[in-house]
Amino acid sequence: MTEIKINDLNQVFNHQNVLKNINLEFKNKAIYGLLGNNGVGKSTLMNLMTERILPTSGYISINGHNIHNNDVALQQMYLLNEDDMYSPSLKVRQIFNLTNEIYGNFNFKFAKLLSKKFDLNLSLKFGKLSTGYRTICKIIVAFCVPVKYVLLDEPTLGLDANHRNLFYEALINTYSHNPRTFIISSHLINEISKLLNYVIFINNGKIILNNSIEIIMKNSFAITGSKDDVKQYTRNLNVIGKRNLGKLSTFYVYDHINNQTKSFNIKIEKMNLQRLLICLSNIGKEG
Amino acid sequence: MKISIITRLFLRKDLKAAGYFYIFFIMGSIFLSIIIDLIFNRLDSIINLNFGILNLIDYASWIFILIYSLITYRNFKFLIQNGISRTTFWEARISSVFIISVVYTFIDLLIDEILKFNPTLVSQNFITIYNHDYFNSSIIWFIIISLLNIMGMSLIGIVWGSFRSLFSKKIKLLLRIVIPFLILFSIIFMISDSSIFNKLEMFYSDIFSTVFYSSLIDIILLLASYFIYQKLQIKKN
Repeated sequence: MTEIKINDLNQVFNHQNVLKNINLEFKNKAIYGLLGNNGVGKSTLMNLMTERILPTSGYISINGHNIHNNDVALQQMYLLNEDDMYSPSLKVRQIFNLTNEIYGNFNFKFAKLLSKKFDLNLSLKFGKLSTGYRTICKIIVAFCVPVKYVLLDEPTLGLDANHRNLFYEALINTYSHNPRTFIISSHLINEISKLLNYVIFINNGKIILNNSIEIIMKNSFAITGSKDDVKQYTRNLNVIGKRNLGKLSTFYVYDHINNQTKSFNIKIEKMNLQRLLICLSNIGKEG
Repeated sequence: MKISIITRLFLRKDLKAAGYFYIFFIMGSIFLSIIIDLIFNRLDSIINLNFGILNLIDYASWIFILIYSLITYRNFKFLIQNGISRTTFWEARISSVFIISVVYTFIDLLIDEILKFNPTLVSQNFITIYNHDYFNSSIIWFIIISLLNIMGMSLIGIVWGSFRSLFSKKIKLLLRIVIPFLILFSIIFMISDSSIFNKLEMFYSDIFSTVFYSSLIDIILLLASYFIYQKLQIKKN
């Protein structure tokens, strides 16, 4: 079974440890959300996974084979990110043809359909496209290239609401027709959270959360009530954030809790993914 | 496995570039020849046109292939985006350079042979590599040495182009300013010290030493390019 494994990966830029001893596994045919604040190392990790940059130490393997200088392994992945890797003089149609020439089995039918939906002119040169349409061009290539792992780093960059909607539709469509692993990094957490099977949260170059979305959501709560009651109820729980509004307090908890709230005047609600990640990224900052 | 596909991609681009080069150089040479003859009132008839500039085709193709071979980072970006490793990139680039060098060598030879039909055309003030004694001894040696030279020029371009790709924009700019000065000083130094030329003559005193030293330089450049290619990385915008 093909799997990406990241082993003891470290990356140092300008004497700064951007990624610290990362160990990860990506299962087949699942949609991962690689989340975190700006500059925490998400893009670096994706660049390392596709050998665009070389690690300071550690290695990445697919199906047990190191990806370094390994065409077979590298051809199982496709990374879309903000970098424009295509020559500005290439026409969109030429990009599709060249991708087919290198990877083989490019899904021209789906590419044509998506181009029509996104209203992308195939005769235009890549360099003449707007930021949004460059992203669209790269999205189409990413969805039509025959790889087992599609890495999407900020895939909605420069897209308007309508195009973002089309992107999510296309993602669901391509995943349902041809299930493969998608690793998505995005700041629009509320928009992508419904699509995800797994969440990996990076903070300060470290993985601080790596679990299935069901388990994560099962353990994420917002507990609201009077400060004393909330404090009392959460005293043995993993409190990851607090918010006070007048006499009311909300404590954010990432833990397994029982719903025995009779003796407390509190309200327990599910916490959404975005709030959870905000709390996790602020741990240690608030003291 | 992917080497043949990538080599084909490079060859397609390289042959197109070579085609443009020869068309523009030949057309440009003819045009310039007409202009020069017009200026000096030597244009009695079209048959007597002085196409001396065409004799420079070898040197022009050397310079062109050197400059063209500088393009590394753009190719690297495209290939790494498409899951092609650094080693495959290098192997395909070297394969295409060898094939395209053969093409350049034969086209240059062909043009020179055509020019030789009219002895007045090769007796111009321009120095051609064919004037060297040992080249006249055998066409095979000429082809081998020309091939080694043109490959050497291309490899210099590849090494320099890939070396530049390792640095940030600031350092690249610095290199762009510093290197021409270094080359200029080296040339001035070489001109001022004639013993350097004598030493160089030693390396190229006969066909065998020329082939040996040219091959040695090409091998060193080949190894250097492999080493640098392994270090290529995508830089932050």
